[in-house]
Amino acid sequence: MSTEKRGENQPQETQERQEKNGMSRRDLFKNIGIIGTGATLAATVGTSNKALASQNISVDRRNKWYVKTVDKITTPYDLSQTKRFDERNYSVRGPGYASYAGEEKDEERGRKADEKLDKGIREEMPGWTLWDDALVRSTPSVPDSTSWFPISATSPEERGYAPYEQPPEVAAKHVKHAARYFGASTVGITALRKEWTYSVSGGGDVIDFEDVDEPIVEEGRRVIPEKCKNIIIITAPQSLDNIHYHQTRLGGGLSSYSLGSWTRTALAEFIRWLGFIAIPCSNNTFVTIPHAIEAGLGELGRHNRMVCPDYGMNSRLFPIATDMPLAHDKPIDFGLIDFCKDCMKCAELCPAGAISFEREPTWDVKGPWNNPGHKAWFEDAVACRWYMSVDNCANCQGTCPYTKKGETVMHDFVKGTAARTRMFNKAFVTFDDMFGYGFRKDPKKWWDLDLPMFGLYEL
Amino acid sequence: MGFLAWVILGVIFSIGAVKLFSWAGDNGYRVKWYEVLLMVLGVLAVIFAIEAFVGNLREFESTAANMSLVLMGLPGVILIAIGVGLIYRNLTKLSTS
Repeated sequence: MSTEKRGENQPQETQERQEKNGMSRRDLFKNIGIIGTGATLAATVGTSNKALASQNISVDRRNKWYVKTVDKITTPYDLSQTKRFDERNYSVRGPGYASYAGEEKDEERGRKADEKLDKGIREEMPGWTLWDDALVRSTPSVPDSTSWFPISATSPEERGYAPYEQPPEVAAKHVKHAARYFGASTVGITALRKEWTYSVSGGGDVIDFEDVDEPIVEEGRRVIPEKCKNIIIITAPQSLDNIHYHQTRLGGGLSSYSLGSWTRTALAEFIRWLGFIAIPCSNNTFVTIPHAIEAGLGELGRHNRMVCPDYGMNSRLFPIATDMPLAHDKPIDFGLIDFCKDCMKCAELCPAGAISFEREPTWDVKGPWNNPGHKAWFEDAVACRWYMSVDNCANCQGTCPYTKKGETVMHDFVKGTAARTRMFNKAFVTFDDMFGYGFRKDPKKWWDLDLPMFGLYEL
Repeated sequence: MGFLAWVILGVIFSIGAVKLFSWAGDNGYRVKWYEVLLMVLGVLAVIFAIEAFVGNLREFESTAANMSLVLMGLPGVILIAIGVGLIYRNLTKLSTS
């Protein structure tokens, strides 16, 4: 056997063999390593943004490559053999089960279901706990409601169970998971502040805080119990496609109001099924934005509204006040204030001229529609409202550089860099314009878009 | 672009790199660190440009897609060309000296 030494002292026989084969074993493994590293790097870069991994990428199922359309369904059928029948008696739903299995068995079925649920709640069996049950009870057929009282929920004590007693951190986790399940994009929890509560609601009711056990709703007056110390804010995104048709009927993406309202109602019922007060509101009771910012959902932007790091200016907020002990979230900082100092894009594209062009925010309000006591770029809301009503204007929302989808890592790169340094902010704004982001698109083309479900993208 | 497409792209770039280094090595030239750096930066820029191009098209942002190719892809191609050009020039110098 010839000795195989590496380098210049390789024996003649080994060198001849290498020349014949064209590559040494060492070179082969080195090249495989280089190729593998290159492939991994390219794949990592190419698929690094979470949107590519998301389940919510818009796909028309009929266009999946392995699906073909056919002229006849794949299940043979003969309508001459099919008869119409009474669903009540023949289907196993409803009374139909009893007609097949007997009344006794039907009663036993109901009894066994109740026993299993009861056992699960009392013994805290995973998947059958009080909060698991509350989640399920909150969903079916819940109407959009801002009622301050339970729709169908009853407390654990009323049902003969021990009260819900979990540490605030666990309770917050339960609430947030439920909110996501019901359709919220983000959820934040913070302290309810009376200063950020209207004295009179949009409906003309005086809003008071009193030391009472339950909310009070009477003619011209609503009372929030003092013990409702916490407020939960959920966000529902607007369609990121529709928001780019600002100043048209399509702009604004108002499907978020419907979805967010349902989500808020379901979450309120969930909290009530756990035995707590839940006061879901529109934006006519609480000043939701400062609560949302304090709950860590975003920062206050140039247009004096909240900007989220992921959904930009493209979310709607839905508050629920509660006495449920919940751990609070902390505010966030992603460099927005500094970015807005350099950006001006919303101000430039506001048709009303309602947004401030000042570089620095100020404590001085623009008019009585602004509540003093915070440093901001205060806006001319009267001028804004005209265009909002007449033109369906949402220019500021669509043009904000933070309002982006998540299909390319470029957006996270820009946002991440802006969060660390303001050095490149002006350049980012310039590139945002050069790349054509935020400008209104042709509304006729919306009807040809391949939209995701509800028009919403998971970011 | 799917995961597999990116893997294939990475394989193509890597094979190109292997071929280039082998060719330089066969001609007795050891590639300099700055030549490697230029080409690596160029390849990264091209990969990012392709990712941004495809991503922006998925976002229905055709202007942004084209600008990605121009502002990121073109410099990437230039960097790669400079790197390869430097290797070729230095190699030619070596063979004539």
